[in-house]
Amino acid sequence: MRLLTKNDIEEIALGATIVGSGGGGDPLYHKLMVQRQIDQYGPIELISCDELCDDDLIIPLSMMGDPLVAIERLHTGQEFEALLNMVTKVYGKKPRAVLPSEIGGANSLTPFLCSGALSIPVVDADMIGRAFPELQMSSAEIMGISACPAFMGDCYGNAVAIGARDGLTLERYARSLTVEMGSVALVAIYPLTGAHVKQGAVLSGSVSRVQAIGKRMLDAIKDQQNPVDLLVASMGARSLGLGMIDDISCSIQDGFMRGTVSVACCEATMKIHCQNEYLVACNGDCAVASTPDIIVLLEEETGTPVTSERLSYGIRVYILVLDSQDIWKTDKGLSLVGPRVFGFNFDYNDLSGNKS
Amino acid sequence: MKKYIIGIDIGGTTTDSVIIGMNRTIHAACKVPTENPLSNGLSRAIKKIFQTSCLDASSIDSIVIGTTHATNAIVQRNHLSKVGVICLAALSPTLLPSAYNWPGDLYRACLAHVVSITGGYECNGKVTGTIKKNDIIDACKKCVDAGAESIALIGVFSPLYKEQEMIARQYIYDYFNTMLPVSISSDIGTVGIIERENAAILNAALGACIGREFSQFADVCAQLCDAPIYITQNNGTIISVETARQLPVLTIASGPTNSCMGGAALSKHKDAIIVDIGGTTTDVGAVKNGFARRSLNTSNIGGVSINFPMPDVLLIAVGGGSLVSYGQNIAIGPHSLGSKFLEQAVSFGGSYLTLTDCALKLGYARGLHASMLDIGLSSLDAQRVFDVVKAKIVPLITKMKGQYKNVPIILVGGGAALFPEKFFGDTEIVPKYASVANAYGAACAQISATIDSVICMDNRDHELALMSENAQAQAVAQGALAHTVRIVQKDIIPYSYVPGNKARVIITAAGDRF
Repeated sequence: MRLLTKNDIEEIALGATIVGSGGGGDPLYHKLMVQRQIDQYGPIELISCDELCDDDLIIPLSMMGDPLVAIERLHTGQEFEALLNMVTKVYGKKPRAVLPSEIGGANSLTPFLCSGALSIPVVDADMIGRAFPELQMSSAEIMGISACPAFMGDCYGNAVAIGARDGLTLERYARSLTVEMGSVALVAIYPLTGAHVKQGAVLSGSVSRVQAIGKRMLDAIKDQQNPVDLLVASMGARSLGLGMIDDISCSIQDGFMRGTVSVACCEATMKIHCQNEYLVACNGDCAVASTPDIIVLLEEETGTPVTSERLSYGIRVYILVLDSQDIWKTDKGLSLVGPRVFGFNFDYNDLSGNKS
Repeated sequence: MKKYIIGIDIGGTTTDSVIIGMNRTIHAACKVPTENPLSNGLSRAIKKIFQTSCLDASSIDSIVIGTTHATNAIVQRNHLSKVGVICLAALSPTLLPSAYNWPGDLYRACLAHVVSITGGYECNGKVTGTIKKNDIIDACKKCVDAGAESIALIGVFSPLYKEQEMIARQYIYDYFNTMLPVSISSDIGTVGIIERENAAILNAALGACIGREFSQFADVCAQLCDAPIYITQNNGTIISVETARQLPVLTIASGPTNSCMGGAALSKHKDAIIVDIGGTTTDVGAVKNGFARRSLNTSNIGGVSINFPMPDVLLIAVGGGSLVSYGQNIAIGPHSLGSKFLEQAVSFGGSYLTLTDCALKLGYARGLHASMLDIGLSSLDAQRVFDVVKAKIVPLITKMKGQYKNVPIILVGGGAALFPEKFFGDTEIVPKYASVANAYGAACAQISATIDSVICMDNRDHELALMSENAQAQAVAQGALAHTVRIVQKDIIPYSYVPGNKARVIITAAGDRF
């Protein structure tokens, strides 16, 4: 167990944005909220997976919905209290801890938003290793754990418990409810026992992992080194180019921000296709990088990552690709998050250099 | 008959003016110390420029004024009114109170009281809470009791749905008349409530003092000349005095924009890095294709994040009047003698060592008429000071350059004369009239027109093209020369769940006045 300070949160937020692949939302607002909570309630408990008992109840949390709404209508905290009370009612006992469903973007900090006020620790783990737009894209799904009973809470203090028969149905119901709740809602799916966690239902150590990335990036920026070089050297990132964003064609459909970003690089115009996250990078008609690999847009001047809702005409960005975690490159993994799942007509392994 | 334009920059240390002809050549230029109130220095500057140029009021087409005083007020926490913040937010409290991570001294200077009342919208236009006149008036009274001199109104989703903010403002005006000025956030910022709220609070805080000063500028100019007067805004284009009074945040960054545009125009380069060395600060900006480069959508002013278009500028507190201490470690600034320079600097008989004194010691700045009194530090130490200046400023230039290795570096501002040639790099240029580049930029400021409207995204390319044409036509209608008009800003904010796939689009076109 370690206690997280405001500075730790700063590092986690940056590292999480990098692995968010453009999605997960800008963690700025969550970061400020968590830091305020630390001011009010003290540092936050982060526990490791081995500290759990087999029959502990662990609740993964994430916010779902429209990132543009998340930066306009702020959370009230009632989402968490309502949801966790419903969990307690359904299970007949209180949860031992919470954890981030996805470690990419703002959602990396979602479970921390309540930990102080509700005195509940956060487990150092997540279920995706990055950000993905749909709920069933998680390590727990690959392990065959049931997504339900799932829970949702809204900023008004309403809570819902859902028993859906499969993950895809749950996704559809949850999306509809999110729309009703004003396009942003707190969601808990794949409730876990301590035993599940120890058997590999989660990716252990995720919070610490992204914190290490964030810390190194912040140190590089402070020492005026180029963070792109750092990512290429220490994380094996590939650079696809540097250019100016000259067109953004995104709209919100069914609760997702979908569209295409055009980056005019010297050699060619790169197009990045997104559905909240940056999913596929194309040079002309030819795909050069794809989900599940992580596509990062780093703003040239500051070296900081640009998330999809902060895209702006005229800014200059590096396009980088980070290798995906192994779990997603398996057949089962690719069946959940490979390019065909998002409507592209090629396979991850078709791209040169991606043969698994 | 009216063939000349006066451009004025009211800086922290000096008030600079130029008179230019319609062919953009500088007919005369002069500098006077900035005074308090600013309009005194302005008056002196205009009288002096008439004298120097041998022209009189009858030949003046217009007067354009740029000033950094809005920025200075925020950065120095000076001349700010106390603000009452009223949030139209049915859901409260949220996990983040207003002005949460503002620097403490700025918070204390600006915030009198914060109150949330029912109101606001969901993203699809559904009203979260209906606003009630009594709630609004009561909230204002509480703010006034706590010392507020103006109100900032912020409604959730107001950039997409303005009605509540506008109705609330009208209630306040009906009840308080002009006694309580109101800034509404949808006039100022875009989606992103924290940054928009910050911008609205700053606007309300600036309103009284800066607004009064803009009115005084108009009075002073009217006494000396009957030409129309304009104020420059953040994107380098002109606005009326009335607009500047209502929305002073629009002028916050006009100083750096003017120095960038002025520096590029003086040196006749369309792509360049501009280093403006003033009395207190050095601003490093960039010009791309003839226009000051815009930064990412959030910028920071005085330690506070805001989200309206701002020029991309890096700032450091090093200037000609900066106080210098040398010894084990060299320290330059952040404090500077400002306009007291000519009385208090060592080479002018005073007792404060400044960067200019070091320059004189090294034989730079030969144009300055300073006494040759013993400046009190060795040439070696003076050189160390200059090494530190280079080490502080060159990294900013490198950052601005990005991948453009050979782009010219244009040195402007009063402090440009303090440095030997090519001090900042091989591509450095110091154009003629560099010290008044800001005023030149103001004189040459363009006219812009902004169209802010909701369109259907199904037909996206067609609609955007139509809006662009309209914006350009409007700019021309206001006096811009048609062949110079270009689109300088394009923002698209999609509406969700409103049938018809709609988005709010803001397009700005700008062109030359002459």
